[in-house]
Amino acid sequence: MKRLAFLVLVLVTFSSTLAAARIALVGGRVYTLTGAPIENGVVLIDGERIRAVGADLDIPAGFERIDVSGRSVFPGLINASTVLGLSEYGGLVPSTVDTNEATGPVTPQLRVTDAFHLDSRNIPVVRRYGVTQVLVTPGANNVFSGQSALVSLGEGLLSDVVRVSSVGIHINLGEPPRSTYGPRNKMPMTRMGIAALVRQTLINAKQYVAKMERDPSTKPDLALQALIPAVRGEKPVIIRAQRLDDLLTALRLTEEFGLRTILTEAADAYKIAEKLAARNIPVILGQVTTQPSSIETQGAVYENAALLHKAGVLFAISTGGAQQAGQLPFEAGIAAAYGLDKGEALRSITINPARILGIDDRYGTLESGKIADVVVADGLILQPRNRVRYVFIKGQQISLRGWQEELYEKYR
Amino acid sequence: MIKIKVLCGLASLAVSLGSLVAQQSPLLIRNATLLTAAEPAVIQNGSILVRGGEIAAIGTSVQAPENATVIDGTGMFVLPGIIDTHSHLGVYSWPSVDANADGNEMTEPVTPQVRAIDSFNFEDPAILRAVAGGVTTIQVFPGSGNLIGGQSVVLKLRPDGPALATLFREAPPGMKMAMGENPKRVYGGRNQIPSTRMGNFAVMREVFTQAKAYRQEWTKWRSSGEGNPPDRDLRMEALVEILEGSRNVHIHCYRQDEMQNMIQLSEEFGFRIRSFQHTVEGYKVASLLAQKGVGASTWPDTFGGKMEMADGIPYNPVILASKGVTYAIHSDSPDSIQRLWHEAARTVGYGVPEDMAVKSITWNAAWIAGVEGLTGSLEVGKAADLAIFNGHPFDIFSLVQKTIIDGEVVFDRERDWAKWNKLEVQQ
Repeated sequence: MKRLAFLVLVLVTFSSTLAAARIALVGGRVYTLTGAPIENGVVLIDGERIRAVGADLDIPAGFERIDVSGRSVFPGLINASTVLGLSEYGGLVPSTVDTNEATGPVTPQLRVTDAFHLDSRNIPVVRRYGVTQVLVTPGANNVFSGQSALVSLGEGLLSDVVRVSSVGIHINLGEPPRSTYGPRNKMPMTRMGIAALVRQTLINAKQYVAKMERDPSTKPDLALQALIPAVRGEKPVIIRAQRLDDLLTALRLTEEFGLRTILTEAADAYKIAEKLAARNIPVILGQVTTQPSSIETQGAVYENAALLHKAGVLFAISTGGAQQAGQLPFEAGIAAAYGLDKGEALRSITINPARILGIDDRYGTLESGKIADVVVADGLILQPRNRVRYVFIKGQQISLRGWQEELYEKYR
Repeated sequence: MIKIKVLCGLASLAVSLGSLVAQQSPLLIRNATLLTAAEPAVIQNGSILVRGGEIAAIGTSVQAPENATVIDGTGMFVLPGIIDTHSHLGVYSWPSVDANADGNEMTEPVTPQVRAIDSFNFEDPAILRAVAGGVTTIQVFPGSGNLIGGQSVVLKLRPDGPALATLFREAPPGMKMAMGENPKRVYGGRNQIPSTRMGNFAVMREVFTQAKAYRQEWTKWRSSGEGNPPDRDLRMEALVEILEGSRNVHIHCYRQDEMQNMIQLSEEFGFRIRSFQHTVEGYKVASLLAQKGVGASTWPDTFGGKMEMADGIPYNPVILASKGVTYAIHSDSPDSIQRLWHEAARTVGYGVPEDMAVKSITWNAAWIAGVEGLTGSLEVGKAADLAIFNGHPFDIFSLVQKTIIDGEVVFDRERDWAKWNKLEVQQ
């Protein structure tokens, strides 16, 4: 009898821990990103999903009310290009850096999920700014650098946080590959070398497909195998290019091989905005604050995003990097200062990256049925004087108290 | 006869230069919100009268003289011209290629004789972008590859012919030093001292000991009045200026233990430290910094880029402020200098009161550079160095509309931005 009672007690305790969290965020200005913000709105989070969003919702029994009056509610921010989790202290501490397998320029088979540092100190910092998921990309030193992954900044094992383990095949044009391999007298040394390498590799991939179909016992080539979805147009090819000529090379390769291209970085994108719009090529912009400091960014202008929007290009704003990935909302705000529509600035870090990465069915807006990645801020999240106060990832509230807050408490 | 001619020539030159400034017609900025970096911190519906390159009057009822140019400040915010206490503009000018890398004379770890002004590219295109961001004064340092990198220079970003900047003549002399990882990495990599932090300090002690001896030699010769003078050594001369308190010391320093050790070394040799630069762990020793009167230049939230930055926190500025440290937000970057007002804005999100955040890029920065009597606040008698924004500077949607330096409208967004924005066209 005692044993049975004990078992029942254990089961009851266990099930209440596993019971889905039910939360009602009440009274805030809700930026659904599907239309105008809802004043005095309610967001119902039921387990992993958003149950409902609206102005005068009845709050069902069993929902924990969190009063967010005076505050603003947003979809969790999506940073569509970072090396978060691959780089801890940067190049001066090489044992903590896994961004570039710069031992050979063609490594499409590499996966960032094989290098992601789940306990990176940078993650709680980035999350504190309202970023709830990021595209983790390989570095730009290789021509074919590997496959990116969509990772949430939530808690758990890799299998909990990796949302899409292989999002796109990355190709890098411009300065990084040639300055990595050129000094070693290894191809590529020039831009024409980079492009030739891209072409030959993609042709090799197509030939590999044909060989495999003829003779399934052909010796497997993992690098070429990784490119099969790219040459079939099944998986996006994410091409990094800054300067106009590199962007045009990307367009030529896209046409030649029928690639599903997404451009990234793209400081000179505004120079070919009409072309991009006409071909429906989306852009993941690097930092809005990209400066004409290097040779390939001499054309960089703050108005890049605004000009792309005017031309009808679908774009997201990203930050790159690891530590600075939390600056995302301010990059979008600065784009707005330089002429980008404010609503579009918010979309560029929420629904736009979701659409570009093919995850807009479940992320990027506050709508019933979507995954509950929700953040609450003092006001407009683009503003530096505002702080994010609550972060929910897949319905789970994550504490914003991290190692930085602990140091603050210790020394204040 | 010739002497008189020369004197007359010089006198008339002085008069014509003076009248050049005086010839600017008075300027009135009317009916704006003034963020003064002084008392009172905010003046609503305020006006500023600029005359002869200086602030002649401030208040809510300033009258414009008849010939004044009037700028309508309705809806605008006026900040004192922004001051960046840590810049490598000009010594690492754009574009970032080897040929433009003139900031680090990394051929030996102690080079106090080199001067940033001798590397400064007066046509660095990045200067225009800084002015478009409301920056009016910069303190340019040699880099941090050396323990003693060389003599700093303070410049106003007011053009002089094709030169995009002008020497701030009244600024006190300064010296850049650096402790921590950079020097020991540069020289350790060549198997030279320093290769460790203890090596850093040993070399520092060594050169200041030499400087003491050099000073004594000269003092002895001067008081004896006989024999030949000792040989001049420019390295030693600059260090003796530090010992005598006539050259301000600014030290790139991240970790709290290095700051403590450096303060101790400075007291050992009898010189004061004007500021630590970067000061990422400043919050751990804020009371000590305040007690010793050492200023601090830092970032709003930079951390983690190297081991010595591991404990960087965005609460550094608020802790420094609350313990009474005179701190400034710096850029150390030709990129973020363009948005130094936004860098300061982020500190407000992490607890710094707005008035202090304003001072961190104006008056406090002026103090660190030693020019606080001349600029850095909206006060009568100071230079008319002003940044006019179309909204509160801490609102992300605001941009600088006009930058005024010594009363001259150096940047006007409507007039200049399209041209300045297109670097390729300029080059």
